[in-house]
Amino acid sequence: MTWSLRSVGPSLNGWLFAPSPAERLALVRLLICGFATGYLLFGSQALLNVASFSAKDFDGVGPVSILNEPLPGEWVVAIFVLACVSGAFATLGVKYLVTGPVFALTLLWATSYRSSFGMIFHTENLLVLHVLILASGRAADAWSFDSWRRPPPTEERQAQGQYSWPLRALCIVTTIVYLLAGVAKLRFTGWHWGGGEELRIHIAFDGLRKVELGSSPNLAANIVRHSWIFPPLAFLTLAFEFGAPLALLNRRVAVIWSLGAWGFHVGVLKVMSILFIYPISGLAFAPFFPIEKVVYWARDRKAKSA
Amino acid sequence: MNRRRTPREVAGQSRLVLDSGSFLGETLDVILAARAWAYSVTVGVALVALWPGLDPTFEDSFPLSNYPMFARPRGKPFLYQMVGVRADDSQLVLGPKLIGAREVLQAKVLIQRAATSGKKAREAFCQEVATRVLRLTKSSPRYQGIERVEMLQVQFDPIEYFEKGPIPLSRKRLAQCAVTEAAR
Repeated sequence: MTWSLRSVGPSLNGWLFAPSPAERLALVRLLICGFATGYLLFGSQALLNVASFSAKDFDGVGPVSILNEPLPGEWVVAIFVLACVSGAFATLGVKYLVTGPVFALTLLWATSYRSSFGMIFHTENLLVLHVLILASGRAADAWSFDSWRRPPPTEERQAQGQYSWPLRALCIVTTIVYLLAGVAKLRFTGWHWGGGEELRIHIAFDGLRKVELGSSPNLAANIVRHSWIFPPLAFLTLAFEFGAPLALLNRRVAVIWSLGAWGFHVGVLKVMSILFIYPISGLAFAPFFPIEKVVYWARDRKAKSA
Repeated sequence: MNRRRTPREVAGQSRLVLDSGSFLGETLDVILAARAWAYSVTVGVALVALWPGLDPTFEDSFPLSNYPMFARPRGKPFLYQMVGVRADDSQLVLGPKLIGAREVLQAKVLIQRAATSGKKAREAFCQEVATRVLRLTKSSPRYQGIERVEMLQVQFDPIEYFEKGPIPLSRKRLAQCAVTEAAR
């Protein structure tokens, strides 16, 4: 296979704009926007509590860094309510051209604001980035209120790849997030992170910190005593993080990588009690797969049984 | 080679032909605009998401992060904690709610920030916590008998903590305050 700019251009186009059904992107919208809206509603207490946090603890991150001091409490509540309402509309695909971006921006603001009081919640980054990307594509051309009222020319757009590139962008960002986590380990600690001792110390420190700060102990106490576990765990962690971009190559690799990344998060939850709820739900990896087929399969099964 | 292509052909090709006077030309204009948007978003988002990993300052933020969790060498770090002390000198570690946080890691940041912000900030923070403890001493038996609150700086060896037991390598009191009605 010879590589040249002439061949890369068309193959990049072919990859980014591969014909993909409107339903696939629509289902990803339903799942991810629905999840994000539910996340806001179930996490409302945590997201609204910041309205009463002390101004001296405020240190804006991301878009919130434009503020020198916290917003009045009513503003925090108003933005939160707008995020929830626009999230519900975006999920259902009601006026998505407006509600999609409004939801993405208010979700970005609400989560950034929450992370502006001493602790950055790394469990939310990928979800916010995904909703932002979804808002920039035609994610409501199917299975939405908008498409029910006025059916769009989905076949034309499908042929043009307009339902494909947002999915590709979602996959690219997912792999970048994991790749960066690997890069950080090498930048901060170096290759010897792969030896396992640093990972062991991290897990031990996380466990002791939780105990010493008044929380209940986790599995760290049991696992830290078995030093032999850590070299393979550290190696696998680096392999999945640096191997993340390979998941873009084809679906088989994507399956293996997604399962590995999911397993990593389950391990983190079991050992360190840190819940990365978005990847653990599996939805973070949904854009890699033809998930609309599950709906067709369920529909066919229902029709047959009827 | 300037021949007109159908949108389906265009979907798989990078070389586009523009003929603005025709219907197909207009279609191609739309496709080109859509593709320019698609490339802008995809490449833009990818570059922006990658930036924290390339940023020489390597500062963490949100939603763009360099994901430093589990990456920095820990060594034998210092830890700041708030404890309640009874008359017999027995101690009780005060949990996140008493610190004014929901999560343990948020509590950690609040204590650390107060601990490193000077004597006045430490004492004020200690008083805030003592006020919350005072409220609980009346309703919860767990907190009864707590006479004072202390802010401590402790150091542990993380591995030895679990292998040999929670014996601190060092321990320093940074602030203390009484749990009395005067604390209100």
